[in-house]
Amino acid sequence: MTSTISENIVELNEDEVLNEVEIRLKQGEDPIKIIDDCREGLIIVGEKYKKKEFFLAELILSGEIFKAAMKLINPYLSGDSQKDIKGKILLATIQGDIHDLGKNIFSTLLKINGFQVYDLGVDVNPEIILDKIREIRPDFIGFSALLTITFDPMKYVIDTLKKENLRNQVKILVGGGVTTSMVKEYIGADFQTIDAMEGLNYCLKNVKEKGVA
Amino acid sequence: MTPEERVEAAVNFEKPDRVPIVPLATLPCAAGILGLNLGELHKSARKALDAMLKMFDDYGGWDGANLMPNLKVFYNLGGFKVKVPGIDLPDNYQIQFVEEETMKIEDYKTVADIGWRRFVKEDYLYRISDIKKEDLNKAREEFWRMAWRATYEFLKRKVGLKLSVSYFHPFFTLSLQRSLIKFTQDLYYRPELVEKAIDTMTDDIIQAGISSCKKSGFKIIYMPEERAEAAIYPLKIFERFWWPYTKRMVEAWNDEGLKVWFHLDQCWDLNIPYFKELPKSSVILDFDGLTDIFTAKEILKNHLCLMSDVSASLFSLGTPKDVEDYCKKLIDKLGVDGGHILGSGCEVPPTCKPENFKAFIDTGKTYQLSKK
Repeated sequence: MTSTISENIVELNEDEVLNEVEIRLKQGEDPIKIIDDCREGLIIVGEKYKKKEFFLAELILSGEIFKAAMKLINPYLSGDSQKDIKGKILLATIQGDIHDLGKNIFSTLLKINGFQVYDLGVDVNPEIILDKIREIRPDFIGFSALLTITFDPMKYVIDTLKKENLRNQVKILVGGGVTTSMVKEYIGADFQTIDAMEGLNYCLKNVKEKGVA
Repeated sequence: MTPEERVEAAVNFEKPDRVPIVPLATLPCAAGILGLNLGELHKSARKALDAMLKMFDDYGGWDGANLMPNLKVFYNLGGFKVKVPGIDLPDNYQIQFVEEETMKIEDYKTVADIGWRRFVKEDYLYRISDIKKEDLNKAREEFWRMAWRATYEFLKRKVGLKLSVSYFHPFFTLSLQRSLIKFTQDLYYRPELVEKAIDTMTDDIIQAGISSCKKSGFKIIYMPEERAEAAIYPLKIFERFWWPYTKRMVEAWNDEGLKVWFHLDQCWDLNIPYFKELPKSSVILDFDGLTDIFTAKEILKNHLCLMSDVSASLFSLGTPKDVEDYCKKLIDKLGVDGGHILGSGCEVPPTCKPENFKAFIDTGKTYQLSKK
């Protein structure tokens, strides 16, 4: 049975979603239940995207509604309620490229689906990425790329991980308009896509196989 | 055939002597191939154009070219915020659009009332660039000096397809100025505002295109778009906010004897059938590798000319044999007897291997001849 919140998320009715979230919070309802209702709507949006009934636009808009809802809900959450994490993922647009649209959309999808996202931003020095990997030991690394100048820095990061015997502990995704299977092979990534939802599904599938979720 | 005749033959589905070759090879490619400092080139219009001309001459030329080095002033005067190497970015970076919400919701009404060009000239330009009102004429003079020299030099080299008269599609313009997420929210939650602005912008661009082509004598208008396709939006959005205005522009320009070169980045697979509604040979469709160009050919048949899509990653990571093989496949499948221009899809990147660029040019020039 779908809730009004989830129906309104699917219908992309932002005002209605936020009004209901506010009312239910004021009535003292468990914020986790409200988040679950939001997620229920987002799952339907994802299914519709998979069936090509929805497009990137609907993923973006539903993601924005969820972010706005979470702003209202966050003050009501206790520390314990945020511990259910599917996996850790480090995202970056590497040195040479300042584009971040695709990365940000992917980041939103990941957060909605329970991943802990470490977004290092754009034009990130490979050494900073390596330091962060050594520090947090992510389950996934996601590179976003719109320019060919990023190929060698991405390859450098992955080659360094191999030298340090860290490569096998992490799955590496690369996405963005300039990426192809040739780029995946060249830099040594595990997965390549230009579709944020495909990237999310890859992460979810790997998490399921590892039995983390 | 001259390059002009060759391009015309391809666009009109007549038989050219060989496939026309039109790489989008401007400053990044020139800097990469000639081993020059891209940052330095962005600081000097003369050096920038010299580099593009040297590359053109070193490789024996081709059939169509972007006449202008895409410097900061070029984008700023059009109303686009960019960061460029040597000025805002390190020397070896490429010019990049800055996508921020620089245009506000209330600006839609202004654009609808006074048009995009007046909005840029009177207000928006000063939000997105360092140009000051009192320096506007100086910036324009700088732009035109560069434009005239570039035009003179490339006409001397007899290029057939000239990328010079250029307008971003109103939909793409607004998406960049509002930023993708905000613009998407506008399309769904404030559609009338967007629609009115696009309507005015369309008429504005039609008139500007006609006027610029009359002054320059050029017959082709270049129009990039990378946001309206079904990779991002459902067809109901495309049908409401993109297609009617596109048709209006193409038909108005077609009445004046002008054609449109659409540069369509991202995946347009679901949108391709709409283009059958346009007059035969009225546009060139230029894809970047994400659209299935071979299926597009099957759908459009001999109705519209396609410009092909040797990708940036292939130019950068492939071997000359890889490039040669793909160019041959394009030539064989897309129309040796017209309807195909061998292209680079998007900008040839600075990381392009010189031997790959040579393979691209050489295959275009010789393959079809070798089959005769």
